Amino acid sequence: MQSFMFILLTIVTLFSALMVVTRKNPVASILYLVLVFFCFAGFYVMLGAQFLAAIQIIVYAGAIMVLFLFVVMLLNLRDMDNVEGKPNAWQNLGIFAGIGMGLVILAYLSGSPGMSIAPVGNNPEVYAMGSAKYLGKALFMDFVLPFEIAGVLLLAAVVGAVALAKKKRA
Amino acid sequence: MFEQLISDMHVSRMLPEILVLVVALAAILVDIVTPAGRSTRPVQITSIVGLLVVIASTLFVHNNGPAFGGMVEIDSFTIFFRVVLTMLTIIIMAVSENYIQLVKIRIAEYYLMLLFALFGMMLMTMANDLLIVFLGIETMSVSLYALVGMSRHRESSNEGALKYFLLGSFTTAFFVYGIALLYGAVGSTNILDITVYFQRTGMNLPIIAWAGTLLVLVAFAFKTALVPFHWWSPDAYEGAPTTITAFMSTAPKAAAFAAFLRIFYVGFGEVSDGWTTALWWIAVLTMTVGNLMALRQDSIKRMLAFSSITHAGYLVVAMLTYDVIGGAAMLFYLVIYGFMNIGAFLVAIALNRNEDDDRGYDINDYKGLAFRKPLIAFLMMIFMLALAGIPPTAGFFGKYYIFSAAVKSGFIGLAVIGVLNSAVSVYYYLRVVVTMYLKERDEKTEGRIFWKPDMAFAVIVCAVLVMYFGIAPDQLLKVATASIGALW
Repeated sequence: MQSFMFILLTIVTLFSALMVVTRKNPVASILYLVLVFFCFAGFYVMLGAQFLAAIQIIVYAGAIMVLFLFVVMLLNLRDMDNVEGKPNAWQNLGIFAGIGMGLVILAYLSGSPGMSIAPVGNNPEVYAMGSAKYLGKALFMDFVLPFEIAGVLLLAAVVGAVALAKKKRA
Repeated sequence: MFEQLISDMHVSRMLPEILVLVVALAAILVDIVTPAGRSTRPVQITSIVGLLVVIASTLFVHNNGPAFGGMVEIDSFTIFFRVVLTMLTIIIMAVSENYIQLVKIRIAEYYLMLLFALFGMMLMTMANDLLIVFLGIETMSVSLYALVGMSRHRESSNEGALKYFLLGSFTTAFFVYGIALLYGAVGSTNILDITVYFQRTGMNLPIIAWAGTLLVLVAFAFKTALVPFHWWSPDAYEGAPTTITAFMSTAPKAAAFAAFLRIFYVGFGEVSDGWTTALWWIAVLTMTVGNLMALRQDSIKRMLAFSSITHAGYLVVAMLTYDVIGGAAMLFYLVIYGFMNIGAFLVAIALNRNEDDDRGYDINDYKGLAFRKPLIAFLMMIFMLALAGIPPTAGFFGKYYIFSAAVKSGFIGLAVIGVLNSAVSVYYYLRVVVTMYLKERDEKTEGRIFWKPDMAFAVIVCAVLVMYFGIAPDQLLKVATASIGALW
């Protein structure tokens, strides 16, 4: 069951990723990107990283993609071939998100103990590693330095972005 | 138990890095309290004084060893690069204030980005873990992307920044993928664990470990602008404000080579037969292609940009030897190259006729400079001779050490190709000297000369160092040998 699910997810991921870069219509690209992100969440679930999967859906497939969609619609690109209007895009978003969520749930079911044949699913220790508690411990003990540097990196990026974007002081 | 955890991290070993961050935050505060529209001089002075404290803390506080559970390693190699990188950054900051007023950048973020870039570079030189290398490279690169695009009214600056950003992000993807594959093979990103793994496998690596090593190599080749991964550099170097071009061609390159050295000597040393073959070809291509392109340039800025690719090629020759002599030669060259290249770029800034014009660096501006401004012409001649590798400048010893190390390690063919390339490069460096000393003055091409006291001071310091290390190279070589020794 799990290896079947893995192959299914892989095919959907690669297909959607290809569609992202080949579609002429930016809205369609973004919708496929949503699907790619959901598939990643599916992979995370199968690897026993439930917390990461949830974050992936909330942050990437949720917040960031909606932001993307807003920007594209605000830009109002001229060569949007098949888009009739905004409601259509939102409707499609719902469909894509639904398919994606379905895949994630299937992945979860395929990976849950009892149903799975793969080592990951049967190993409760690995399952515990996906929890927020474990992640927090790793982040603040073994990986505290990279964590802090990432903060500095973000600060540098923010300062740089503001410097490039702000109005010129005469 | 908690206190034990904290003390095991040895946070104090990273004091200079923490100080750089403190300086950056202090500079932000100084910028906020400075009335809007004023000069950025207070921020500049805060940054420079802060960095002097950083150098002092590096030199006088001895606290070596691993920190954060072996994620970073503070040894003489780290200290060497900390001092060199901070010094180069100070020189650039010292000459920047007048220049950024001239080219109308006039924002304090210029100094902040330099400080953040320095922080990233320092991390790269101490990183014992691919994760830290990655974060260091990113912190440095993000700051450099912004710095390249600082001249917002100039189209080439925006173009260069965008290209640099896109290609740089692409490289990041390569690097992350390489790290992921190596993690998949080894189960750790720490280079000591990777060494243990390679000791066990020898050259019989699984394909994912080879692919990971190769991708990491490509990422480093990108960051150090080696052929065939150099395509971002001419545009980024030309678009950037010239002080930043001088900075980018020296300090970040030195930091990238430092991380390159540590990862490949310590981490991938066991499989050196594999990567030296790839680097052999990269070295030949880099030296030759950089030279051929530099030959055709009439703009001093572009000529120096392309020639910096060639110099990276010489550095790779030194790296290939994979022994202490070659490594020491490489560190020696990185230091003197930093001073001579920054010096040459600063003279180019001084002669730039029109700050808004990208073509303000024409070689014809140098006609008869020796009769107009003998001092500037003389200083420029020192830098050109040093870059060409002619005694008694330090450039001669830099190249001598590199090629003799290559011969000792049996890379005779490579050394011959290197010396030939070095001979070709004499043409375009001496062309500048000939133009300055033997050509008639031409009133039409003579323009304003931007020769402020801070600029003069920095150029003279660079020239004195280049001459000093040319006459007495032993001291620096001894320090370099001791520093590279930390990797064995």
